[in-house]
Amino acid sequence: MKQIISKAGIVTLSLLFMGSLLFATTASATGPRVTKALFAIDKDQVHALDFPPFLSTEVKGGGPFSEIVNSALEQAGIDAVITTHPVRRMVNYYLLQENALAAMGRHLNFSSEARKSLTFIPVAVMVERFYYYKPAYPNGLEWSGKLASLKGKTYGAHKGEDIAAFKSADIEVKQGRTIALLKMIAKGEADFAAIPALTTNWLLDKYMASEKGNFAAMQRPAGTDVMYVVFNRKHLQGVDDAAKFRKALTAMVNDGSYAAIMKKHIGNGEMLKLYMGDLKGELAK
Amino acid sequence: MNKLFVALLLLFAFGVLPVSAADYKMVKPEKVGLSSERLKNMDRLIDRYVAEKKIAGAVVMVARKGKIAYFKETGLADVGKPMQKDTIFRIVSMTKPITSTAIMMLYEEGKLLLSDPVAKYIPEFRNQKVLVPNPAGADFPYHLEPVKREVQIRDLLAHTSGILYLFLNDVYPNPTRTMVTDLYKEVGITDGFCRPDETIGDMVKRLARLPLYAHPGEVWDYGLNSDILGYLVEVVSGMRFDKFVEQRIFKPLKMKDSHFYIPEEKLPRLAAVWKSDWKGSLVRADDKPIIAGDLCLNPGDAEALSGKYLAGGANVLSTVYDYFRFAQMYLNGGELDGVRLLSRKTVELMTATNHIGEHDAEFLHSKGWKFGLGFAIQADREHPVDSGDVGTYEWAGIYSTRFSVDPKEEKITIFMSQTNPFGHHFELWDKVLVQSASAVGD
Repeated sequence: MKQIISKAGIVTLSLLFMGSLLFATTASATGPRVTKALFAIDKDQVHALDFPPFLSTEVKGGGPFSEIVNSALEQAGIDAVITTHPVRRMVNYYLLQENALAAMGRHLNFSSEARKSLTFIPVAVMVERFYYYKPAYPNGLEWSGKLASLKGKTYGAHKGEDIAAFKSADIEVKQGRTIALLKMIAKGEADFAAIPALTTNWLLDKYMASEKGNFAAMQRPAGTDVMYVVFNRKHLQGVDDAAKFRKALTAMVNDGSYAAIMKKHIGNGEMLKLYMGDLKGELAK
Repeated sequence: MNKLFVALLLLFAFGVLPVSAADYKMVKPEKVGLSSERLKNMDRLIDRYVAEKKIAGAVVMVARKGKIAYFKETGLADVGKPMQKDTIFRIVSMTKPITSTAIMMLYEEGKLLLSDPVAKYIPEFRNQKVLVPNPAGADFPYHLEPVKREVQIRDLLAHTSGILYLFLNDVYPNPTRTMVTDLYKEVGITDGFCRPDETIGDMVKRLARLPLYAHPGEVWDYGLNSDILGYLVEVVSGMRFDKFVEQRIFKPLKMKDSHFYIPEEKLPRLAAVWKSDWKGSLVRADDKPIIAGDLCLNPGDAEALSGKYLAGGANVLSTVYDYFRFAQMYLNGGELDGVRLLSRKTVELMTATNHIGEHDAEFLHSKGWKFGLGFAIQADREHPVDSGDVGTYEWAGIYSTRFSVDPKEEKITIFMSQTNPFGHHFELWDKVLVQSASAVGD
């Protein structure tokens, strides 16, 4: 060993080693970043309802809507984290009983009294289709654009979904989570349900892969559904943060960063158009 | 010629006699300090229940000092099909001790600690809340408060996590429990006795994000804890739960007829489930779910040859003999036939310690029973069963199966039937244990 490395060499190597330790320490200080929710459960919270693959802990990165809302929060300077829940009641509980900063999800369904203290900011405009079970309708199932054309059938509705139009068209309504609705349709307990195509595909792939080919969408869209972030004006920062968030989200729509996130998650094909409705118009309302 | 004769005789013996009969290695009861005469009371007991059409049939075993002294099949396994010693049963909750064993093996390997928060391995358990009812007249029926401490692995083993079973709503009706289980229902959480078409991990991740019924450690409430432990085995070991159990427990213990999903060739050995009103009306259940209140049982699930759901609290199908081997491993302090699954110290920790403080494990028993890490443990004599010793550990299954291990007497008792509803069976199970205990003759 003595023959290979001189004394000066050993000193140099020692200095280099010590230096590397110093740099290593610096590096680890800015090292792996973990969600703030891990350490700061008292941070402001945006309580969200699972909506795979757009917004879910089961999707890598949380899904496109999660990334969009997180980006808008960051750009607005709002220090808040998204916490997802599997059930609407818990989202509503945190927003209305614990006065959380905001909630996010579809069909959250607030009373008119509760709505007085809430600010709704649209984050996505999506086209939905009515899905049905092909073996039950070998010749297909369509609707004319008027629900009366589906009279006598059974509609699978999400809890919190507005079902008045179905009821008045003499359509029976059964409720459940999206996956439960798909299972009801496969069992013949419901005839159709309005679900975004990506959600249908994701759930069928995950839970009912052998049945995927048996589901079909009616040609005519069921309509558009707007997903909102709902800010709570009873929260100390609720009013200010809602304004800042709207401004940041509008900027993201205008500068193309909103579309870039959507493309990253959904691709640039036909499917993207279904989830890139007129958000600019909704934001301007 | 003589050699040929012996060879033919051996071939005949091994080829024609049932392999199982050769494997069972029974001894005369007297050899292990049991009375043959007194064990006839067990025959009479089971014969009477079959004759009265309270049950269709059963297999009962009493083993002592590592030897099988009593092993008898009675009645029918299915219509026109007599019960056999190797009949396969849905052991349901008797899966739980098997799951606990898997966890304790990982514990011994240094992969986890009993005091570890479950959230360390399953992040969805972070920041859990407890549902607390609001006073009558409040705007909202409940509020959620942060857990005083996180759910630990030991809470899952001892059922002190605050996680519930839905079917016990009917046994212990109370509004808070209903509020919690209504949330379970809304997100599609089931007890797993009607097997859902999803992975256990998907179920556990949803369950973890719902409120607890009580602060961890503050109640003993039988619940979906072993199902979470099954998923934890997957997370910690990196293996599918069924594969882990098959490779690490069933295979080493030679539990050849124990399965998460039954192999097709063994379907003829699966017992049918019978509906009994306990008054003489006994009907073979069909394969449709049996639903009573919040309890859903699907006997047909056991006929599935494969599936995604691997319930650590309910999935396993087994035989009396296989479960005897499992129980004997515990009675031996973690080892059977030269194969050690657990250390003696770990078995002592699981079976001879009260892990639930001042609470009682009252679901299967009454007061006087505590809970260890996977078993109910007899702590004193203040309970309605007149048999057994302090330190006896046992559990049961909802289609009427029960096992009991009495370390002091080195005795194992196993009863397996397949009868619904289970509520009637406590009396019969207890009588079986009395017959087993009163056969001790030394």
